Amino acid sequence: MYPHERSLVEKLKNEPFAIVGINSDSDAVALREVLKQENITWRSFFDGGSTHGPIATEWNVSGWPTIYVLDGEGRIRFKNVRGPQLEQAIDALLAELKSGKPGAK
Amino acid sequence: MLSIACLLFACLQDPAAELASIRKQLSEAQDAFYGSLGKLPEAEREKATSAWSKQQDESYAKAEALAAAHPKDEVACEALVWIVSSLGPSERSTRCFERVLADFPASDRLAEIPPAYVYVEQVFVGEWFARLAQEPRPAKVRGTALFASAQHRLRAVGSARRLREGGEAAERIRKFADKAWLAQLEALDPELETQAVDALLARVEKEFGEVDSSRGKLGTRAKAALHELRNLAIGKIAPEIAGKDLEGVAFKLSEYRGKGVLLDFWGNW
Repeated sequence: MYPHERSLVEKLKNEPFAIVGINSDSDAVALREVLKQENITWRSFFDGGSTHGPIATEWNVSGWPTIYVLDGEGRIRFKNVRGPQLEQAIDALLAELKSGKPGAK
Repeated sequence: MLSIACLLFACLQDPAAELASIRKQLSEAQDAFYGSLGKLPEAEREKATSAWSKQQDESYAKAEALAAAHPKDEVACEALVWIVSSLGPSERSTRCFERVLADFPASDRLAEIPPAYVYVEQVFVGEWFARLAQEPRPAKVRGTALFASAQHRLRAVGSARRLREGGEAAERIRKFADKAWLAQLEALDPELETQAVDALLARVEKEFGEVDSSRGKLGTRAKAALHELRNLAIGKIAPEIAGKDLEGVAFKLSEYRGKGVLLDFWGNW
């Protein structure tokens, strides 16, 4: 999914929209190398070094990647959307945020 | 030489050893097939795929014949459950499912079947889960079947919602779903079904909480699924996440209030 995420980073660069990762890899130090190589620039929580980490457990995540899209109030608006649906979801929220509708501050 | 001959003889005599050898052979063939597939030139892939599918067919046919040759033996139960849970939806699986339910109606082994069908989007899966959740099945089987049924129904709720929303996702479902499944999705009321699954998960947690599964106790899993259903549904405020980033610096999800957030659970694998 990296290429797609990178294109999202580009798309969202000057927008009120952030990508926040929850990473379930075992080794944060080794991962830093990957971040560099893959040019991964979004911030991630390190989830205790396993797929059974506290955040993934609390969120009942059992498949990776799992995607949630939140609006400006922190409300869950979309779950497990991919590809073009994800783009549409983000566009819809951006339009909301800019028009000052619910969720925008 | 003599010892090898004896071993061979023993294998032929002992159905449990024979089944173990069928399973081992297929699992090795599977590893070899998937290991080599990426390296093969395009032209040879089709051949390798058809050889692999022939090998599977032969192994499952052998296992089914073995079960038929030892109908009351525990090995028949093991063989039938293995076929049903590893082969997936097929005529042979349906036949073996009926056989094992008739001959071993109260075997704990039946608990291996439900997890293998959670992702199979067909109407018969619901019927199978219902039959596995009945007496005289032992608690392990009933609990596992009810939990799998909750997962299966939640997936259907997701599909039913996407169908109602329309667009590309709905088109994809219409294109790939079989007719009966599609009809079931169209008839489904997502809100009511979600309430029913909520009650079902609460029942699993209460009545079958101590049942072990390959991914932990059913009580723990049902509780997590209920939490997701109630607190991580669309429309709910996301729970706070506080932790450290990959550099060890602390931060919180709530720092992003006022912005849209794409939360991405990921791993480099």
